[in-house]
Amino acid sequence: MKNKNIILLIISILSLIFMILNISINFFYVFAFLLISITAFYGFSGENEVWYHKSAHIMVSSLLGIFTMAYELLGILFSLISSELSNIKPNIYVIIFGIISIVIFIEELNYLKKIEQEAKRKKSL
Amino acid sequence: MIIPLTDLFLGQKGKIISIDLKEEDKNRLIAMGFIPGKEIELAHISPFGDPLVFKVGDKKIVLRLSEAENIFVEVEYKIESLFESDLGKHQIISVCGGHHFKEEMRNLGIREGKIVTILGRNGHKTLIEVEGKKYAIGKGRAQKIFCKKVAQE
Amino acid sequence: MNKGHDQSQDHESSNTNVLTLDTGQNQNIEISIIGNPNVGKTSLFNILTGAKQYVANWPGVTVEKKVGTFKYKDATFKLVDLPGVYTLSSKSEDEKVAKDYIINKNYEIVILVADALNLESSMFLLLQLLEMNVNIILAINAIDEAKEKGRIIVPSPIIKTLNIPVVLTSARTGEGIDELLEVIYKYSLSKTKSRVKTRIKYPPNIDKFIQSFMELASNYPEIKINYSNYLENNWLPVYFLEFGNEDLNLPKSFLKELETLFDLDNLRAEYTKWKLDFISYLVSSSIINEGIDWSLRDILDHVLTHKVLGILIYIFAMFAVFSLTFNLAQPLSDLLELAFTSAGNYLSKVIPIPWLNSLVVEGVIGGVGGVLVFIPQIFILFFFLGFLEESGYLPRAAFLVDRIARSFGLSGRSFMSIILGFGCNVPAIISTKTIANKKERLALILSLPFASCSAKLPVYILLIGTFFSSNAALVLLLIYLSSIVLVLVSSKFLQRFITQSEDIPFIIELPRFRMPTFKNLAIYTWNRGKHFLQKAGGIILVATIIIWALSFFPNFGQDINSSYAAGIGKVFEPLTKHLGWDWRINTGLVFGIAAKEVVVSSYSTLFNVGEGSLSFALQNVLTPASALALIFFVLAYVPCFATLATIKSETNSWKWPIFTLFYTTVIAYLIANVVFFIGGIFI
Ligand SMILES: Nc1nc2c(ncn2[C@@H]2O[C@H](COP(=O)(O)OP(=O)(O)O)[C@@H](O)[C@H]2O)c(=O)[nH]1
Ligand SMILES: [Mg+2]
Repeated sequence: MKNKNIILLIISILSLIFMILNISINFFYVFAFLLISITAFYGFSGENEVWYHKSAHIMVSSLLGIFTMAYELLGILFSLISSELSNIKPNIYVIIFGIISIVIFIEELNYLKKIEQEAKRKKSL
Repeated sequence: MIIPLTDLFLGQKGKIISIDLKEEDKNRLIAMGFIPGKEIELAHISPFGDPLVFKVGDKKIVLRLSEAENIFVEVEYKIESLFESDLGKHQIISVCGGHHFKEEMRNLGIREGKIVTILGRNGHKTLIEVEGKKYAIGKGRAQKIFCKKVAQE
Repeated sequence: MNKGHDQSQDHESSNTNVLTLDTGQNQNIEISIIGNPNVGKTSLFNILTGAKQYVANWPGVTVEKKVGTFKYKDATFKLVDLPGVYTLSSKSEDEKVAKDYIINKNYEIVILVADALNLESSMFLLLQLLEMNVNIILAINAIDEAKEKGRIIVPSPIIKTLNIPVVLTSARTGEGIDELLEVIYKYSLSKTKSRVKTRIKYPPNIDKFIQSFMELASNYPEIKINYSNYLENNWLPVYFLEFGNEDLNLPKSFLKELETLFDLDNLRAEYTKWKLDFISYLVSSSIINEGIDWSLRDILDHVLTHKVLGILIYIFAMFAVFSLTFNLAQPLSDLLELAFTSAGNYLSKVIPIPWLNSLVVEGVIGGVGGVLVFIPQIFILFFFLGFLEESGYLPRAAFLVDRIARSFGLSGRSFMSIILGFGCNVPAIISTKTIANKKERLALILSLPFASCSAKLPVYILLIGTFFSSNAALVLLLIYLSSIVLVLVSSKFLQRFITQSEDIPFIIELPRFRMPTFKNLAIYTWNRGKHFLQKAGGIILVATIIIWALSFFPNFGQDINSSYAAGIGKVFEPLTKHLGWDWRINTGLVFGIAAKEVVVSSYSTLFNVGEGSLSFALQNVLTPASALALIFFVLAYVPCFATLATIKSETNSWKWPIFTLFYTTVIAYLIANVVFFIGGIFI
């Protein structure tokens, strides 16, 4: 993706909002969203010469989002096993954020692959 | 310019020139890939600034400052904060800090790629000239602005 | 295409040498695996021999010599796996094992394993082995990762220049393994001990030095006797040039004479330069690079090794695992519990003899079953630890906390052992062999029992589930963090009494991030978890039966409060009364010395209840503060027998395990009191 700052901003703000929404629900998710938000936030810092710095922060924060969703889905799966259907209350926020994360992650991965292709082409020229 | 490994900037690359350690440690480092003449990059900094991780080829190796400061590399330029730099012309490499701080600096004309001239020091303040205007920058701020020296014409 | 195969045939044809060694068909041909740390030596060893030795993605996994055998066609081979080394100099114990083995030369062939992405650093070892005149097969491993990175390895320059067979292998995909076997077979068949080898061509100055050195040495009979291993093929002068006199201790008069003849420093520099040039020529001619400098692992590494995020992500991962153990494993645990309870109910109706009934239902099913219900939690913990080890995160954690560990007299390397200790203290203590600093190592060995091992997990889960279920994961996280702090503080404390002091640089390699394969993780989890099951059928079962017997006799289960078991517990009551622990708690702790899980199984027996109501029974006996004190006591007190035995074997003295016995108990008691006091204020 081209405009990395906007993506980072979206991730950090969205995760902060979801963190607040989760405060009364589940402390683990509060920690998760806080971590995601901080990860995205550090993406803004420029104290380095690493060219993939911003991409790295985008990818890891979205990966964390995906992991958190996987955790939630596992939980649902396991309570299916113990057959407490009525007790299942999926955490919508985690799932919404997880889906957004997947989209962002794939987009960013494709972008990096494109750069790689270009670099290869340049090299072979 | 030859500097010790500890003066590299995160992500900056240099060429290994010499390893001034005990023969034994030196041999071990060489066998681990710290071969003079090879390119080396500062890859990670730990939470307390010590140790550091360096990347040589595809290898990443952890070194403490006490060893790293005795290994010397050749770099095209050294990156320092505005606060530590010598007087003269410098090119801004990066401005660190919050969005607000960056915005403020941009308004002064301090942003990546720009040339600033350090005119002098006044206590903890650094006097600089950007785009013909002069400013005095406090220590805390100057330490968040990184630049490299530009050769004088 | 690989050329190693053809090359080995070259060897046979060009083999005109004397000194034939009869490698009879039934004789074991000894082959050793040597290489840098973490290049996949043990993985190859496992594939060749079918063994299941410990493999993980960090340097220093293998710390001892491991032996296995395999057959190929009509030959039997003895294969020796060694700890990884960078050069033939040694600092820590594991490196010494490898070095001594290499220098003693009791093997016929060496498989030098190199990393396809770091060919250069393996070349140093390769040249050193060539200088020793041993038979080498070069296996360039992890070729799958090289391909992935767009790097092509062409072995022919190495084959031609050094005259050794080369095979490209991957222990992950199995590529090149058949070829490796074939090369080993062919190579061992060519019946000479000293097959034709390329003599390394040194610059003239070095050649002259070697010659004069040997001439001079022939005047010293003691050199001939003491360094016979080194004299063959003029290796002594080369070794002396490379490593100096520190390990050798050549006679002083000899050194003096040598110094008058040569400027050793200059010569050394010349030798090093020659070596570097030679290696860079070899490597650059064998690698074709097509990729660009980008990979997903670098991207992950950039953030996971970030100065702030690194530790936070680690804590997050721990938190996630602990939440998993409570939330996800609980349903499975409940199912197991249900199964045991119904088995117990059924058996209690079927068995007519009262004492047997009580033994089976309350003793075995109540006790051992009470431990077995924790299978899901324990396996989840091992799965997670396996992930940490296989992905390569462990050394990164070491890097992140090195500075903190240093203020406790340890290094980041020690931190890795602490995390390993969360699985089991035994491998954690063994892993300290790689720590070169003796003072640090001893202090760490004696403090590692404070690392909260998996055997303690059932106790925590039982008590946390009973008393702190609303914040379960958080409390567990707190316990593990306290455990780390305890090890650190204890090391610092113990180091005050250890006088040895050395200054050894902390240099470790960060392995590449690797996505663990599910198969590897499953093997790891099973290997570790299996141990838990074995214990349940062994020491836990025995201890449980003993406890049952002690509680049943002398009055046949009529009054447990006057049983032998009560007698044992009551001895300690004066010490524990103020903590709110009655004799049953104490008796459980006493038997927990055998294995920590026994604490749980003995409570099931002593509280004389089916699993469901154990929590209820505990709530009647303990207050939350005394439960927390109990948790911390279990965290710190006496390690299991296996750990004590390991401390004995690693320190070579009975003094230290006995010391540990008292030390941990005293510390645990102190901590329990402090926790009880603080807990009393807050809870
Ligand atoms: N991708 C890949 N990984 C490998 C290969 N060989 C070993 N590994 C991994 O490398 C790590 C170190 O392997 P190990 O056998 O313990 O290395 P040792 O220290 O040399 O004995 C483990 O995580 C292995 O799974 C290989 O050929 N390909
Ligand atoms: Mg190994």
